[in-house]
Amino acid sequence: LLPRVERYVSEPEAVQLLEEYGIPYPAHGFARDAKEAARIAEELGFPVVLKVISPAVLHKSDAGGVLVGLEDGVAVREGFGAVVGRVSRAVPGAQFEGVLVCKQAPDGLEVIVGALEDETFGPSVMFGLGGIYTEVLRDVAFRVAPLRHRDAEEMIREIQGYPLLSGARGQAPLDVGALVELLLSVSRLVTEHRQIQELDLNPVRVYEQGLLALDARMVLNMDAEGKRTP
Amino acid sequence: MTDGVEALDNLLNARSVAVVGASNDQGKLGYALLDTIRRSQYEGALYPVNPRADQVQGIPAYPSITAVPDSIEAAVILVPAAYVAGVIREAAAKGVRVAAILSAGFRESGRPDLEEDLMQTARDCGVRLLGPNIQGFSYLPNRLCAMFWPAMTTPGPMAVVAQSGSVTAALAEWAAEEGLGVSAAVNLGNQVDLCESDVLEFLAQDEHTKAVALHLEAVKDGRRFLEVAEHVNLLKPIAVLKTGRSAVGRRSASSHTGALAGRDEVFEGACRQMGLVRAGDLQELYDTAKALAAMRQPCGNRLFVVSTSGGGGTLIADEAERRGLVLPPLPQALIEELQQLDPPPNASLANPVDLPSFSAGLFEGAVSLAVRHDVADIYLISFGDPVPGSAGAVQRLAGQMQASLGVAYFGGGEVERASRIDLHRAGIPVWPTPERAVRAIGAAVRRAAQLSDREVSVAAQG
Repeated sequence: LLPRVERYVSEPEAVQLLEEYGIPYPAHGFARDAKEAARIAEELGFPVVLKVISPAVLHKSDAGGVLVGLEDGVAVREGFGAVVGRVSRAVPGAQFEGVLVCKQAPDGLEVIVGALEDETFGPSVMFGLGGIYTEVLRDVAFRVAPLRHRDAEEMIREIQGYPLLSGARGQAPLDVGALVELLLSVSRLVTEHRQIQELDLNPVRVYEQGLLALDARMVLNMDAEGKRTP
Repeated sequence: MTDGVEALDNLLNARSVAVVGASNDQGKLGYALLDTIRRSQYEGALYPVNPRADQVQGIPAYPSITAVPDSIEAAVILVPAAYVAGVIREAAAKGVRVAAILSAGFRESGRPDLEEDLMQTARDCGVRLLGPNIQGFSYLPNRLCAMFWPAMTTPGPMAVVAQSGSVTAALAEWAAEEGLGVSAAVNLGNQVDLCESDVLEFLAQDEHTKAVALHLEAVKDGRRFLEVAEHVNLLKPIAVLKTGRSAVGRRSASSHTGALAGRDEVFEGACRQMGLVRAGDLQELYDTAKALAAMRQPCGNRLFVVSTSGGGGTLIADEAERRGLVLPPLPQALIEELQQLDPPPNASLANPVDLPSFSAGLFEGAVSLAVRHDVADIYLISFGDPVPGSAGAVQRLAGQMQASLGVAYFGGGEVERASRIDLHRAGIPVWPTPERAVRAIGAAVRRAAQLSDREVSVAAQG
């Protein structure tokens, strides 16, 4: 058996794949230096978020590689130096590719959408509410890809926290239709890219109209020659 | 190569069977196997194969399969693992196309080489295999019970398909003891060839099977299972119990999805996708399969309950709430008609109806009136005492109603034991506690609701 290698996929690469499948991600640009970051931020409009891109840093937030709520060009230039500095202190010698500058998404209900290659059933898709709902309560639903429309609908309705989406306690209902489309897109994505071992879109913010995937983490399953292991 | 359904048909409906490894020694499994086949009243031709005996258990024996003068349809093989491949070659030479391998000592005992050799030999010879490492199989319409035990002679509507031999035997035995019976019991074992999907496809077209109790440890081909089980489940409802064994696949520590997909979460999702009823333990698997096999499919979640004891009625009402069943209030007109039946003064005529009485006629009358008012989708009669004549009364009710009907019988001693068997023979499900009755009914209701939701959504989209 060949050794399995987990290949790191940088967020800009992952985001490109998401966009091919029509998965909404905030407007963004990739910057190699502070000046470029500020220019991109001006174009996007404030506030913006900075995310360090480095193969050594899979958990960007834990390593201090994410800055949110930057309101002007000065803040972006200073922020650039700050995140790069924090990451190199947290992970000494970390290879640094640059910074992703993203238009900051409005607040909204956070959910998690994921996928993995199950050893019995193959590509499978997961849905759950974000934060404590998944991490503590494990309130998630799985289905085997490719999903049919009804599978996506049923897995959303199946979780305990569904009333938070459908409009609990007098709140406006959120865009469950967009969530169904997202699950179907993720299902297509992993069905057509079997080298994806695991995929997290976490968090995804859901609004009364539409949604945004704010972070994409992807693990590929390849052998030493770059072929997918069975 | 014979297709899976045809191979299983040849095996389960075999008119002539060679039993290779049949023994005269009562201490050996080879004795138990032939003894069970004989006690199951198999009417086809039996050919014990044993190189050291002219007769086995009084039946003429042959030194090898090829020495049998007549043609043989199926072989049941119980020889040491190292000799099985050789027997398959001989069986193939004799024209046998399917064999059940009861022998152990393959992959499960650290000998994957023997298993590989067996698979290769079977493929080369064109023989389809059930097993190895199984307790055997039974098919009641053919009165063929090729298992170590139990010898089953009670035909019924439930098919048992299980990875484990003990689970196969236990479920089939429970069904036999209660008079419910099984159509088929198939132990899957190591599944080197014929697998759960093949057996489900056979059962889908088997007129004697109404529902399937399925126990799995690992699924051989997940994608095929998804497709087959979803289709079969529409024809023959499937209740499934999945237990451990399959190791958690290697998953990355860096993804939330990987961390949240434990041993079972994807399988659970797949079951929901297929519309299968998932049981949490062996008893629930049996109880639920009984509901699917012996109760008419519920058209809704309204439950009418009549009980000999307030205690039983309350247990049912509590569990019903947890299982999403609704006990609708009774219309005034029905309550007045119930009063005409002259119930005991301490009766309670609200749903659950409490009739502290040993009169089977009173129960028959009460349910009959409730059915006429169409108050529920499922009618559950709870006998918490010995009620003479109860089996006859319930059978008469079953004959005059279209809605689902079930019985909880407990605390009824000899009358209960006899009634349970009579009712099961008449195709009416009986559970031994109120809660188990409600859990099984609840599962059948959820399955029916899910499938009808889907029909509606397909109709709306089409």
